[in-house]
Amino acid sequence: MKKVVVILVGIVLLAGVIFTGTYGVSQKNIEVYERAMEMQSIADTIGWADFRIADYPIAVYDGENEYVFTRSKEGYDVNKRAVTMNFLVATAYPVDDHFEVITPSVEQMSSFIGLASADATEYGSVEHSVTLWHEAFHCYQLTNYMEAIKNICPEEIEENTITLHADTNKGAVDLFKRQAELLEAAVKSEDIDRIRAYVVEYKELEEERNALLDEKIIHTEEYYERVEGGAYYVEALMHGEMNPEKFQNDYIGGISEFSNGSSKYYRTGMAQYMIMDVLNPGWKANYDFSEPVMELIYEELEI
Amino acid sequence: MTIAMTAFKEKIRRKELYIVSAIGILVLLIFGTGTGTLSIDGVPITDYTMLAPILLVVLNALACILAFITSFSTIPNEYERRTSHLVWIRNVSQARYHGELTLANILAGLVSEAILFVVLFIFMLTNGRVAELWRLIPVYLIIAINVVIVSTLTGMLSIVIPKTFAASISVVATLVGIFHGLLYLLKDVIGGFGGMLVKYVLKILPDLHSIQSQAGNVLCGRDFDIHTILVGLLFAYIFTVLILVLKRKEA
Repeated sequence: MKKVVVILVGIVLLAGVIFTGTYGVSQKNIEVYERAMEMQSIADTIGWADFRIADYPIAVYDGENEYVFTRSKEGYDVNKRAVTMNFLVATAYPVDDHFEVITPSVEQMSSFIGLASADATEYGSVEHSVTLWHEAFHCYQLTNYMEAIKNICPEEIEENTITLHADTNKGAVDLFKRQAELLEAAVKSEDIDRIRAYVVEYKELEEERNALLDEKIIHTEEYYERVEGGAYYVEALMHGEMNPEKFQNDYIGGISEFSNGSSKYYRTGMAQYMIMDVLNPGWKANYDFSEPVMELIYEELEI
Repeated sequence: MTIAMTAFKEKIRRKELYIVSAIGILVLLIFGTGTGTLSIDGVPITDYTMLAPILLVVLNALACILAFITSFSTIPNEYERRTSHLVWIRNVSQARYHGELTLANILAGLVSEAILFVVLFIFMLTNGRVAELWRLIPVYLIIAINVVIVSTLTGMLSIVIPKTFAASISVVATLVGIFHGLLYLLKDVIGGFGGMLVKYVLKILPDLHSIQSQAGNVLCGRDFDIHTILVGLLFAYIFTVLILVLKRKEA
């Protein structure tokens, strides 16, 4: 009798494990994808008329397998395929003749960010949906403006260029911090004259700072501001619609935040896109990423 | 149950259980009171919703280590001291003998866990979370799954392999379980044969980290994953059955 009870307990537990298990892509990742598709209505107001997330397949790596979400007539299809890259990074990646968003699953990203920051509550489905938009924007940039983007930085783009050279040049760092403060002030300001005053000072500091740095560093910084800044700008506006408090505190309030590495340029780049929005709301219709956004700001303000 | 109760009483009389528990409480107090303030990018973590899960991570690790300490020598010591022979002459089966000794280990592990939970109780009280104190019961039960897993795994190994070797494997398995989440992410960073080895090791060892994460979810009022808990229970079940089935040669 005892043996029967023990065996029954085992069968019940095993059945419970099988019944509650996830097979294939998890429901949470499906929700993330569907949420990201629904956010197209927000993207439609940003200004890049031909930027549609559904144009780019989204491949989700869950630590074991890769599942590709692609648009179909009925909505979307999910297919399993060989893992493209098993790194813990969300990126835009060339697959065959097109670009795809390759991303870890929301569970993987949440675990990773939880381990890195000791707070897993910060990264969930909403944040991951926005990450998909960030990477989808890179797909859009690379699909439509590859040549212009390549020309931003003819040299090889390396994070080391920033950490070993730009971040160790005290004069350049001090000037950058002030420039970032000016950009944040300009984004927060609604008065064109005040924006102009901030931008005038910014330009003076830019000239002073450029004299301290090699061309390769300047090109690398410009690449991050124009390319990553654009994607970060899209990401910020997505958050702005869903979580205005996070938008104000983290994105707008974080523009002048200094950190070593490339991430600070994401923030200053985003700020430049936002300033252009104030100066010329329809500017993105003709923007092809061939010019620095700051140059467009100078032109608009005739500085 | 006489064997289990005798072994349990012996365990709770031992000083090391209380010394390790006291150290554990001290560590938890350091984290929970802000004395050893944790910080992210220089910003101290003082918010309850951020600090509580971290406290639970530390508590889980300590509870698992205590479960190991209370379990690793129980069965081998019985054989070394020849106490086992006193049991055999009373016609007690090996399955019952090992089962009751493991039960004593589990009970001692659960008592240690309860001692550690006093800190979490105080932490919640001082943070004004009186209305949420009931959550400590399911949280305790979920962490108890890890305690049972470690106790049964350690006991099971100590039946079939030499004490030191069994203890070493148990320690590694416990640490891998506690850091399962981190190792699962690292397997892709390691890559190659090493990454594949880590992947398969993680597949066969219990994921103590995920179970503790579910306790964290319950503590913070979030949804929890029942599948993870059932997998943990299945591991505990398998180890328990093996304790009842496996036999020691010298008996």
